[in-house]
This record gives sequence, C-alpha cells and structure tokens, in this order.
Amino acid sequence: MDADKSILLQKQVRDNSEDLQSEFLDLKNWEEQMKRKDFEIRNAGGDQKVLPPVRSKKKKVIPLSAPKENNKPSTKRIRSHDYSAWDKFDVDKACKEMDKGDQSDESVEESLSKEELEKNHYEASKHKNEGNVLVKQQKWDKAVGCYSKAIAIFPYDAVFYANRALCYLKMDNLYSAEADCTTAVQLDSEYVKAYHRRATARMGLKQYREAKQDIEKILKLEPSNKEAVNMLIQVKKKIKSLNSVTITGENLIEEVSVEKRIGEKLCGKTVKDIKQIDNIVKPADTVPFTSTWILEEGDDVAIVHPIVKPPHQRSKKPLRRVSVKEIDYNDKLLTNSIKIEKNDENEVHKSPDVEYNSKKEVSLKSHSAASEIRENGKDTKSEVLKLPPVPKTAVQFLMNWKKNTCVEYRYRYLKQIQPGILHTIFQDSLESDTFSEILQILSSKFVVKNEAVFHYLEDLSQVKRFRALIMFMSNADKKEINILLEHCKAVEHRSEEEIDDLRNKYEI
Amino acid sequence: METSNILCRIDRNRIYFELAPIEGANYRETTYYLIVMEKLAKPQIICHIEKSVNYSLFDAKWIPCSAKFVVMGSRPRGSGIIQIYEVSSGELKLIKDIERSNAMKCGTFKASSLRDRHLATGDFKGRLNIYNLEDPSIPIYTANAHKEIINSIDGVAGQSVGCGAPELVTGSRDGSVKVWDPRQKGKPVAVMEPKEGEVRRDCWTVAFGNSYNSEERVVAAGYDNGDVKMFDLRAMTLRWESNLKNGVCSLEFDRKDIAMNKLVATTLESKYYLFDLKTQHPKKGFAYLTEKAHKSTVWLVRHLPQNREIFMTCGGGGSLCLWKYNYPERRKQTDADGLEHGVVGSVSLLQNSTLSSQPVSSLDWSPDKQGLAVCTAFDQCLRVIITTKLNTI
Repeated sequence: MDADKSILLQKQVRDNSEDLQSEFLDLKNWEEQMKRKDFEIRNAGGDQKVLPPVRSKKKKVIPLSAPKENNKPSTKRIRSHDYSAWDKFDVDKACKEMDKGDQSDESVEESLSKEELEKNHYEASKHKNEGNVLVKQQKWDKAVGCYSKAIAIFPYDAVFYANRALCYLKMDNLYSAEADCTTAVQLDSEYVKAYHRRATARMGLKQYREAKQDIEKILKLEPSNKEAVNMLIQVKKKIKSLNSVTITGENLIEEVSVEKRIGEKLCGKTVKDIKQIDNIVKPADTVPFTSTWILEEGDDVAIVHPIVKPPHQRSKKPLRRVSVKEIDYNDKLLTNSIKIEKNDENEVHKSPDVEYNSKKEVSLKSHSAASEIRENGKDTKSEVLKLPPVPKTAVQFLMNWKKNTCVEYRYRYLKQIQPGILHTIFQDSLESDTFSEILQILSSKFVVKNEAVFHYLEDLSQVKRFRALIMFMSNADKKEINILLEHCKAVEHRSEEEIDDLRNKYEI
Repeated sequence: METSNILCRIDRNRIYFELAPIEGANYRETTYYLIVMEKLAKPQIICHIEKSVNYSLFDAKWIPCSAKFVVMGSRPRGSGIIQIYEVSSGELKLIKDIERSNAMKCGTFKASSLRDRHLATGDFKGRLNIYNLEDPSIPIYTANAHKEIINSIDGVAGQSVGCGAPELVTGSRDGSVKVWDPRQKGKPVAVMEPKEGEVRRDCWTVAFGNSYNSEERVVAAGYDNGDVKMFDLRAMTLRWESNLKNGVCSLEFDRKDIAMNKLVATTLESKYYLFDLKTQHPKKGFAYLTEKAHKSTVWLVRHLPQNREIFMTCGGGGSLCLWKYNYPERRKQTDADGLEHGVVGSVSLLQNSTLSSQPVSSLDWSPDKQGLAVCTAFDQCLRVIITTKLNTI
C-alpha cells in the first residue's frame, strides 16, 4: 500500500519537474514565436476597421447620488413670445454661467491638434528669433529667458533646447547646457550641433568618455566635420592622460607648477629647489609622497593646505587609498623608482630601471649613493626630495626631519637652513638623538661634498642646554666631530684658534 | 516520522524529492505523502526572473503580441519613468527607457489596436497621456483629465471587433470617473462624479465590462469608503451600487467583452467579494460570496485571460493566491414573488506563494502565454512568474 503511494509520489515529483522543464522550453519557443509575430504586426499594412462613432455628448454627467432623477433646474429654452418669462430672465446670471462654461472648457482643452501645434510653434519661433538676436549681442542670460519662453510654449523643438544650451555654455553653466543638449538630442537624434555642444559641455565637466561618444556620433553623421576631428584628438589625449599610470610630462609640469606656486607663497627661497625638481620623473606608487606641511608660527597644529579646484574640474575617479611605506633610500628608492634623466633634460628615460640595476652595486657600496649618481649621470635628481620650507620652530624642523630618513633629503634640508639660525630654531629643545643625526649628516654628506660645516658646528654649539647634549654624546658622535673638525681645518682653512675654540665647546 | 526515507534536494526553483520504499509505514507518514502529493498536483507559482530597479514601481503591462512588457513608476526625485523589457531566454533585456516629468501611476494597452499598441497612462498630476512606444518623445494624446492623481485606468475594445468603440476610463482621487475616447481630443465622453457640494470620495479602481456588442457597456468603480458603483454607459445611469465596508482596492470583471458574468472586488482588511452578475434582483442586487485571503490588504485581482474562472489575488504581504471559481448547479432561482435572484458558487484556493516582503502593486497575465505573468512590488522588484498546470484544472 505505502510502497504504492511512495511510488505514486515519486512519479508526481518527476512529473512536476518535467512539467516545469517543458514549461521553460515552451517559453523559449514562445519568445521566438512572439518576436516573429511582433515583427509581422509592426510591418503589416493598416487595415482600418470600422469603429462605432464617438459616444454622444448628451447626458454627460451622471450625478453619483440620486442618479435617476436629474435635480438640475431644467434650463428650458424660453419662447420668443413668452414675454413674462423674458422679464424674469436674469441676464447677468446667464452671462456668468456662460463664462463659467467657457472657462471649464478651456481648462479641459488640451488637444494637440495639428493646427494648434503649428500655431504654438509659430509663436515659440518668435521668441526664439528674439533670443537669436540677443545671442548676437552676447546677452546670454536674456537670450536664455527668450528660449525658455519658447520652450514653455512649444516644448518639442530641438532647436530651442540646443540654442539655450549654447547660452548656458557661454555662461559657463555646463550642467544645464548638458541637460538641454540631451533633451535636444532626444527630440532629434541627428542634430549635430546639439551633440557638438554637449561634447563641449562634457569636456568642461571632464566627462571625457561621454564627450568622446558624442564626437564619434558627430563624425558618424558628418564624417568631414573638421572641428569634431580636432575635438576627438583632444578628448583622446585627455582620456589617455587620465588612464596612464605614469604621469606624462605635461601633467607633471602642471603638478610641479602647483607646487611651485604654493612654494612661492610660503617662502621665496624654496622656489629654486623646486625648480630643480622640475624635470624629474614621478616615482611609483609606493614611494612616500612628501606633502607640504606647514606650521603657522607659534602653533603646534599641522595645517594641510588643500588644492582648491572648481567641482567640474575635479577628477571623477573614485578616491584610492595609497599605502605609504617607509623605504630605505639607498636600496629601494634608487633602484626601483627613480628614473634618471640623462643628456636630454626634457626627454624622460624610458628604461632607467634596467640601466640602473647595473649601477646598483656601485651605488650601494658607496655610503652616499645619491652623490655617486650625480657624478655618473650629471644631472641626476630625484623628485622625491620635495623639500619643505625652512623651519621656523623646532617642532617644524623635527616633523620634517623625521618625515624622511633618507640621507640625501636630510642633507638638502639641512643645507637650505642658513648657518647661524639653527640655534634660534632649536632654542632649548634639541634632543640628543637629533643632534647626533645632524652630526652624521654633516660628516657623511657635507664632508664628502667638500662643503663648509664650520658654521653649523658653531651654530649648534650656541644651542641652549648644549652642555647637556655634549654629556650624552656617544663615541661615534665624538669621532664624527673629530672628522668634521679635521675637515674644517683641511678644507675650510680655519685657523687653529677657531678649531680649538670649537674643540673646547664640544669638550673633545 | 523517519525523514531518512525522503531525500529532498532544492535546485534553484525546483524541489526534488526522492523516496525510498518504506516497509510498514504508519498512518502519519501516509498523510504526509498525501499532503505532498496534493501540493505537487496543484499548479505551481514560480518566480522565473526577478529584477530590482532603482525607482518605485506602480504598474506593469504586457505589450500584446510580444514577449515584452512595460513597467511604469516614479523616480525618487518625482519624475516618471516607463521602461520596456523583453523576456529573452530566461533573462530580461531592457529595450527602452522613457523618462517623463510626472510620476506614472497606471497604464493600459486595452484601448489600442494590435497594430498600434499605444500605451495609455495616468500620472500623479492627473494627466492622461497616450504614447506610441515606437516614438515616445511626444504623447499622441494628452488631456488634463483630473485635478489629482489618476489611481486607475482601464481600456476596452482595442483588440476585439464588434464590441463598441475603443474607450478608456480613469478614476482619480478627485472623486470623478471619466470615460475617454482617443478620437475626441481633450474632453471626456462621459463623467461620473458627485454633485457639487457633496463629499468626493477617493476613487481607487475602475474597470470596464459587459461590452458584448457595440452599444452595451458598463464601468465599475470602487471607492475608499467601500462603495462599489456600476455605471451603465448606454443608458447613462447608475445600474447598481453597494458598500463593502472597507476601501475597495481593485475591481475586475472576469471578461470585458461578454455579457457581464462575474465581478471580483478586493478590499482592505483581507477580504474579497465575488459577485455573480448573471441575475440582478431588483432589491437584493447581485448574489455574492466573500472570502478571506492574505491576512492583509488584498491589493489586486486579475483574471486569467485564458480561463475566466481562475484569478489571482495579490496581498499586502507580498503574497499571491490563485483561486478557482466553481459554479453552482443552478445559477438562478425564482423566489415566492416570481422574481429571479442569482445563486453564487464557491471558490477554492489552488495555490499560494509569497514573492516579496512588500505589497504587490500590480500583476498582469500575459494575454499570449498561459501562466506567464509579470508583477511589481513595492520592494522595487519586478518579477516574471510562471504558473504551471493551468491547462489541467
């Protein structure tokens, strides 16, 4: 018994799934069949069937309540000979009623008959012509008003929208311009001017891809349109520059010029340094980007100065998180990311990495890799070294100093500080480890480059609490001071007295 | 009950049972089998395709003689949208996207011929528009039909010959019901509204019916206070009215182009009414039955175009119920006074299924394929559903 039932059930389940399968299959066949039928209907000739006439207008209104009896006072026609009735006839009331009737008719009247459309179009065209005159006089906002009037009267003419879009373009109202062009294109899909204006608007809005589509459409409609060809080239360039990971020269200059401007504003001196950086290639993503941090005087707060761009010029790309890593300058930065420029200053070297690897060993051996490169490649510079401005307080100095541990950076940073102001910067807040770091830089970079260190040493010795710093000096520090003093003697030709004076101060 | 004998495998929309023969199965198991079998023997409501959109959906209608349908709705910023989709090998293909300034509430193809297939729509501002979907930039017909939102629209006689002029009917929050002929610009051919100064109830639903020759035609209208009114367009009178106590959400005749047979009215508070319209008693009116369904507002009723005894109701909880009407042995009786009154039959629930968590706002059976339907819900999803085994009922 039960076995029978379970078999029956099994059969039903199977049937059900078969049903469904066949249903799906059926559906597919049906889709195709419908497509054919749809196509046939669309292409079939119009065989008008005879329709009954429009429902007569008598007794149009059925009152909902008490529908059987018409409560309205029957407005019977008054016979001409019925003078007593005419005496009672209230002319004013009758007129009012007629007016009312007219009004309600008007509000309902919304027909789109051909003649009416033509009339509207004619009227709207008048406004348009007014607008065209204003455009010639370059009165854009007034022209916009005229076109808006025209559109209000007859909203189905693409020309009105396209003309208004032109005015918006001239008024730099790019969003409105784009919207109007879109409407114009919807009304007339082969309206070249509208596409052209929309492309211009979209270029302004930095929607290059969309702009490109528009231009391509123009070229499809008018293959010989020179302006469109030019625009296409422009747009392609823009798209490329947006896409490419390595920034092209044009962009770089732009970027640097922004930096430069900021630099100029902050302090005149750094501009020179930035200029040096000018033609240096951008490092890869992993390179720490030294942003321009500036401290207001007497303020402990770090202030980031944003680059203000109008919204339509901003990048449309989503923000990307850039991982910031500290990289040892000597091995990674140089070999991986710095691209060197040789001979031709304007031309970017395409494969510096490969070339560089061969030099890697050499440069690594040397403690001062950057200077080595400088000797090899003459004009080698690294863009990483975007120098912060001369510090005014110890905090500023420390922040910039700690930001980049690479020797070259610190060397440049130290170098831009005029000797003689170090002690005013530090006042009494020079830490012993910073002190020894400065000494290291002096001995490793300045000495190697045969540059004067005497002033620095003298300057540092004037820092308050200098005696305490001396007490914490390590042997290595002392050795470095010795080297520096030797350097002063040998290179700078300082007199014995001056050297001895320093020696005393440093208690060596 | 030992479940180890039944293996159940669910694969997409299908459930496979595999049963091992059981020895000495007891009573409970047997009942279980019977329940399962009963379930399996019934029509299945299957969600074939589901697509979520980024606007509110209010209505969906199949384009006659095609595998395409339109959906109408409102964008978040208040503009209207009409989208045309095509069902193509298990997927939906967006064919066209039409944006209008006013949010769309409802639409119909019923007053348009198969060749034209013009879509008539009602919007939130009370405008009636007719669009040629081939070139939808300018409506081919437009009228400031109502002062407020058009809640419902229905059409008649577009595709059938010999049942009168093609007409549209609109029902609006301003309390009026207006009949339109697309050949008459800007003005309705008939207006049914309360007299001036009387309370205007919100008209939620309208439907054509009884259009079996070139003259006869009725319009049924349902209002928010539970009123149902049937207007005779030939005699221009109120043919019948009743109050169902709860707001009438949806009305539909089982067929428009036959002498009126049945009318289903769905209401708030999870009830629907089915009227037998064959016989009208001068005092009692039409015989009817009521049925509880959905445990929430019954938003909608739609009769299957291929079988007028089968209809679907849609509930506020996102559920669908498939019903079948069974006629009584005799449809009318004569009482002591010699007056005839109707006898109502019974309904049976064939299947129910929950599609979404939000109310189903519209459902439209495909006129060309039995069992195929499209429905929209307030969870911003449109769904193509298939109901199987409708031919075997």
